[in-house]
Amino acid sequence: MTSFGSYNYSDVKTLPLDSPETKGIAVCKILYSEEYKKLMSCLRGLMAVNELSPRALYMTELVIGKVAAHYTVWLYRYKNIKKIVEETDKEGWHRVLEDELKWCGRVALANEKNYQIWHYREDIIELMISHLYGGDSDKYDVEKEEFPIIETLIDRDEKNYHVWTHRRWLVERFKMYGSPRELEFTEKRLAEDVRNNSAWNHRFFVLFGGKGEEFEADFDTELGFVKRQVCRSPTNPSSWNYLRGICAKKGFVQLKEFVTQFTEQKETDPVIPALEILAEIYKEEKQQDKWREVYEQLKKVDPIRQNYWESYGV
Amino acid sequence: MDESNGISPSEKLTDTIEKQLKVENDIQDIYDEVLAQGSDKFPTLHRKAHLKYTGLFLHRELPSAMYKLDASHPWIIYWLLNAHLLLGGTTEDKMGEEVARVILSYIYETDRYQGISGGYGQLPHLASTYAGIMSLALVGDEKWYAKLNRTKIYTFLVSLKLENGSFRMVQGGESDCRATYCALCVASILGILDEKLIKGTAEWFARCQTYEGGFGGEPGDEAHGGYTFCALAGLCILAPPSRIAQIIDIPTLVRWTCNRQYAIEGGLSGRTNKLVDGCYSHWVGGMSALLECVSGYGQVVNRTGLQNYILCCCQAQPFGLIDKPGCNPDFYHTNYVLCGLSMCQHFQVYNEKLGEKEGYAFGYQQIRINDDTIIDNLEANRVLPLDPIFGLPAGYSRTMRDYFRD
Repeated sequence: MTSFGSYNYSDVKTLPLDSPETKGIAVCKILYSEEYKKLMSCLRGLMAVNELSPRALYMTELVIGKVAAHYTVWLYRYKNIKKIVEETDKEGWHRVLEDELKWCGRVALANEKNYQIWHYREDIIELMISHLYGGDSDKYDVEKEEFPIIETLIDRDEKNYHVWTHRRWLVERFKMYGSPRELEFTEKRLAEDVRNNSAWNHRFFVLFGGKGEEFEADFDTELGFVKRQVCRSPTNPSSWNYLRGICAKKGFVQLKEFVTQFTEQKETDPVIPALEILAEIYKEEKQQDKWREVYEQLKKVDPIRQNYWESYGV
Repeated sequence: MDESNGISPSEKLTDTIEKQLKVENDIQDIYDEVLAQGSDKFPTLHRKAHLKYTGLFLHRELPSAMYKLDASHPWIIYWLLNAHLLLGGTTEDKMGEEVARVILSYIYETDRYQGISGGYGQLPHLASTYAGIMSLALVGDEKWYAKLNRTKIYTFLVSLKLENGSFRMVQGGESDCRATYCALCVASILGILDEKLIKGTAEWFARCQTYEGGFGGEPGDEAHGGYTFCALAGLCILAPPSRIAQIIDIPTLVRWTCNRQYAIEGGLSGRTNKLVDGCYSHWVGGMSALLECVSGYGQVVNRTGLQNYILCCCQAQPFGLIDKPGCNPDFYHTNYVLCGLSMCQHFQVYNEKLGEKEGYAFGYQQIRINDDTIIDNLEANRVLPLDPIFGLPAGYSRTMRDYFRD
């Protein structure tokens, strides 16, 4: 008898993991463990007949536990969840979908770098909105359901791309542009590590990402914020990039006094991004001798980018 | 301070700084040792050893621990075979035939569409389709090309296209720059790129460019080397260099790209304030070579610095290539570090006439650099010229494209 967990799979017609047509060819043939072969051949059997059932759902959990990148299995799992939701009543929806979200969290914790988990989680959130909340996304408690898992994962790896992408998706989906809570979140991350570029990027999106949305950021407040961050860590490229980003449309001339404090200091080396902006200000002001001089200086202090500075200095 | 990548000694010790300083120190030690040994002992490419690595795994079964890549079979083949050929290896004996047969066993076909899956019995996926078709291109035998059904693959691609111009990886899956790039590569090499397929795609890529200049996976995401590669290479399929310059912001992209290179390491990082990683020698390096064409700008990345990083810091013992010192080799890094090495040794040149005639992606030609001030191009380190758009050594994409000419 073949059983996993509390389910019996004896009647499942198992399928092989390798094609019979490539028998005898070693290329790319993985020497699967017996355990994996057993699970996967059973799952393939279930998928082949498109069985949608609790035992099929359980099998996807076992396989995803082994290979979280198995996109075919994720898609099959989603089909199972949808079917279960269709077949249960309103109370059932709560239990099934909430359990599913919790399970997603556990898988995410065990697989920090994965392309499928977060997309799947977003699909489950959509199912919850449509089934539990009658399409009203305001009823989904983002703070309770999403923020703790994000915090935990960002604490582990503060620049986890997948997690930040999910956070960006939340801002879009739940219209959190300009949200003080989102801004605080980035401020907290930046207080911890001002070089966390993911936090900077997220902040930019929260403030300026919602093109056409109602929110409009207060430029002067934001300029003050980023200037303070630059002072905390004058050589940090993330905050300089952000400063350049928010000033891109207005031009850099207004930053002249600010950057000069980093270009004229005698006791330490000049700050490259400050020199760079200074050179661009001189260009805006058409002071050719001055900008050439600054680019000459940049060539000396940043020799690996000599060619780059050279091209701008002429 | 003078030599470092700009972290001031008085700054609060954060996660970023701690990791960065550790890598800088490790790599500085390696360079000091290399310099102490004298210039005649400068590391060269361990060609034989790496060929042994790729050859070994192309000829025998893979250890059970590799089940983690069970949804990435075509990638394993593409990485190994591409690296093998870049190093000067061949597909002699039955290797080519075996590779082709295995890739074809991953084909998923219905009466309407055809795509390649991550492994036998799985669903068709755009990344697998890209890796699978590139692997067949590397085998280079028309006999296997004939197994691809262009009409059905076109239907498959159309089914994954989204309203906003991007593509999904798989029905019901995520859409991003990777998926979109893979779709364009496949369509371009099979000669099925048409208006319907590419409507809105260039504009969608442009929306992924961030305030930093690089591109994120989707609009609003952080600029990242992998996605930036996908976006620019994708755009090179969609438009000639002169037009690309009108679609995206070139100066900020050039600035972001050249800032990926670190002064001490010489290697490239994938994002601002992240560590150097050998694989970005391709994602950022290969992209930079295309950017040189598009921007008309000289060298964006310092090739000598990057080649030094690759030769001194990315070669594992006894074989294989790696992310950074202390890492273990894998197929992915072995391929992309070698792609990056090829970029160091060649320029990409866009031939307008050729591009107009054959499709923009086919207008790029590779020229070996013969200028010591740019790169010391020793015979011992030589790898094949790479066409970065498709991620294949020069000529392979053209051969497949010519076969599928209408």
